[in-house]
Amino acid sequence: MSGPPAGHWPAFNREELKRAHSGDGEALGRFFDHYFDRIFSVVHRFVGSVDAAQDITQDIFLKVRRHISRLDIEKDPAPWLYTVTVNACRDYRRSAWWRMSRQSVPLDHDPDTPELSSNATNPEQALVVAEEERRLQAAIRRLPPDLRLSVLLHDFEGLSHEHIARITGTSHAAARKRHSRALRALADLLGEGATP
Amino acid sequence: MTSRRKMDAGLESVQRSLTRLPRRAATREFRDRLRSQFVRDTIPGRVHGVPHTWWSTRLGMTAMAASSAAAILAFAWLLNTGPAWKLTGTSGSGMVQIDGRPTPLEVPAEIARRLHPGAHVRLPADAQLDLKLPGIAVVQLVGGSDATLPGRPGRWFGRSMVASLDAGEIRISTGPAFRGTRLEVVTPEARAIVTGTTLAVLRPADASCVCVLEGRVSMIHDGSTATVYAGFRRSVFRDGRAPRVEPIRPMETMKLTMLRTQAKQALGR
Repeated sequence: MSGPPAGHWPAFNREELKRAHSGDGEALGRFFDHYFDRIFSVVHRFVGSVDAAQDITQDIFLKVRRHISRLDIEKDPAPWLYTVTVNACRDYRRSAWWRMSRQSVPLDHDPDTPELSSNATNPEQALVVAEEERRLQAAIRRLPPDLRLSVLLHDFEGLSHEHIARITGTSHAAARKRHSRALRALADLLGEGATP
Repeated sequence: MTSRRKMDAGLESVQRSLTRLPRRAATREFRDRLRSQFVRDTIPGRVHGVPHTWWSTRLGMTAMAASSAAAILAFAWLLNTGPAWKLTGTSGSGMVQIDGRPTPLEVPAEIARRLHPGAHVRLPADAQLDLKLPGIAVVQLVGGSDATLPGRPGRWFGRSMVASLDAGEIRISTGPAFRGTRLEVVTPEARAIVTGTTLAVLRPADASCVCVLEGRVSMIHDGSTATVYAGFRRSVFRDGRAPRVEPIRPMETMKLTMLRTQAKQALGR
């Protein structure tokens, strides 16, 4: 199942946000619908497993629900949601589950095998695309967590370095440098994979 | 194409692949359940996944690092603890005051039990206490002394010791393991800094006097430092008279020579 394409998160309607802020069920539902897929997909690309991504996403929405009444409704909630998501991913990498999953799931046998692309014109092309995605996801998972977040937020999510710096609590220059290191590391990992 | 251009092209291709990565969706059941829980504010905290260990939290890691550092420091402190002062002899009669508690000179075991680093000792006029810091120094506290014993020097760090003498006399002879140790004897008028020697510090009523049998001692008085060489005594006075340097007296030479002999036997010098 494929969701919407990568890019910036569109702003949530201000009036709806006010209603969600005051606990209106329908507005809360629309808030959830607005952000759920994007949050889930970032988390999924970070951990590389649907089960773990669901657990983390549940945690994220638990935190969001607890704090939504304290949100500044004059501001776009997206940066805050990114911060909650990034923190949840960082917490996850410190958890026992993370260590367990790293020890027990070989990257070559990722249970979350990519689905065949619906955009492919024929089955052969679909297989090639799926294989490329599998290799890329495996390489992403081998990146150190901070580098992984850097490429996911910048290239998968389309956030600027300045925005990433604010979310991750680093300087603009550090965010750029980290992204550049992440890309080089990813290129190296993909190069390794290509070697027979 | 240069290698730099090749590398840039490689990175661009990786970036393109990342932007083209499809977004994966959660299962329908999970999404619907979570949505309903989100709206009703009934999302349970961590049900079956992502178990946290206490040390995996930032607070836990900080606590663990702090306790590890404390344990290492405590272990280092334990290893560093040097030898304790030992009572090797007493003479005279009457009561010695240790930290204000009278203790009979005739019961050395009780005196030894009560003596500790930093203990405040007042001796009757005809008494004497002989103390030893194994390998490092022997000390005689002479009758009529009102003194505070120095602490235990560390083996590798914290090797400074400070004793004080308000009245009477303290004789010191250092041993081979004294190297690197610094013993300071503080009187109301002066400070004598011992760095390996045989000496006596005397405190009559109106002066402080350092007698050096061998080696040399730095004596600090009124902010200036003077060196007292072997065979000399230097006195500084409470009433502001100029310090006086003179040859060590025969009686003091004899007593310090005896102490040095005793130290050689006791400390293996």
